[in-house]
Amino acid sequence: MIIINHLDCDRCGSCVSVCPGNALILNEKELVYLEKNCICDLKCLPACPIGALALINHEKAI
Amino acid sequence: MAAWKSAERGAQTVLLERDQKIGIPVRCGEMVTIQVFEQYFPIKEKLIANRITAEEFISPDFKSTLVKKGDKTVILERKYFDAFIVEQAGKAGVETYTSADVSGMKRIESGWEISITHKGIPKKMHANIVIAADGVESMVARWAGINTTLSLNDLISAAQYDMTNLKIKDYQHCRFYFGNSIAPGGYIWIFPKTSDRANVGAGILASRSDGNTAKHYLDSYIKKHMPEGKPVGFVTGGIPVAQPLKKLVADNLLIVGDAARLIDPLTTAGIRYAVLSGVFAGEVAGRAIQTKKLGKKFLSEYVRLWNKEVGNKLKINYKIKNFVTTMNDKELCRMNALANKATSEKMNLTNFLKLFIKSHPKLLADISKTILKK
Repeated sequence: MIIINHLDCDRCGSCVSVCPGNALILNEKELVYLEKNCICDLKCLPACPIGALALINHEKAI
Repeated sequence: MAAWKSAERGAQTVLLERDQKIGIPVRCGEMVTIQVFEQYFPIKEKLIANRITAEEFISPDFKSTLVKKGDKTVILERKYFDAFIVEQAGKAGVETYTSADVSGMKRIESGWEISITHKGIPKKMHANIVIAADGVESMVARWAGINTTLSLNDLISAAQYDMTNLKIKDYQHCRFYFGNSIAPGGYIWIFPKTSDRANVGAGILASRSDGNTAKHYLDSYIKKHMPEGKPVGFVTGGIPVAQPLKKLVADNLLIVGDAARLIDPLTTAGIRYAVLSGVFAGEVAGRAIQTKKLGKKFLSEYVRLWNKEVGNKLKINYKIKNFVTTMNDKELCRMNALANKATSEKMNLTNFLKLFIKSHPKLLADISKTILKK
């Protein structure tokens, strides 16, 4: 699963634009992660301009 | 823009903005050629921070190509520019809701039922037509069943400082620095507002990321080349350098700007295409409401207007982008040398691109296919 560093996240939406499963959603206040939608393709990681996303539980990703 | 033009055509129009203030934060380099706007509205001086007389392209060997501009290239003050557009929309009758978070959309017989949370309170709204202008992260088109997911090869991941205390020589020049160690698949930009203040940014192609972020490349550049600079603001953003969406309209729906991937994938120029698509979509939507023709067939007039104005330029530039972003530093230097030769012979950008394409047979073949497909 992905964790979001909300202190760093600038809510730019880059990660949302590459997420095929709608697992990342922007609302008025913050970026929200919906784990049930996540297919762990990890495209969100290089999309983030600031490194505010990180992968944990690597087994699921493999 | 789309809301303004739709209301001008007599449609009852509501503008839903997720943020508290429209256009804030400014996620934009703010450089634009204003010629395209002037046929729709006059640009007041207070909307312009600086007038640009030339662009400089600097390759990894630090050789520079200078391209002179006319008097129409400017650095905007987007916060004033966006406020101006919203004010005009209001004068045309648009009702604006800020802090309005749209969380879903459902088909109903008359159009769409839209779920929003406005200032914390859930609400439903009904619309005969929706114009999706929700940027690179567009969800509206996805809710309508149109796939907008970008590949990493079609996203520039970008970061930008608003910097002061700079000492900018030729502050009416915009500068672009290319190179795989400077910004892989993208570039560093310096867009001055005054002699000591500029938007300084870095964009990297997400597929070329080596684990380092756009912010990392930006900070490295600044540390080395602009140590005196002091950041007074910071923003990040995603720039879709994709082909335009295959479907720009559906029944009761039009898609504009970054949401529709209507951006030049080679230069990343987006403001002019957002304005143009907004004007066309707004006018068509307004007419559709007046005539009660809300189906895809009537709304396709927007696509016709778009194609008439822009043609297949973005599709061709997409092919060039895909080619250029795979070039190594040596090839980038060669390209810049070719550009230098072209500018010394007073070629414009279009003629340079023709020369560049002709000198790369594979690219020429690819682009010919795109033109023939049209």
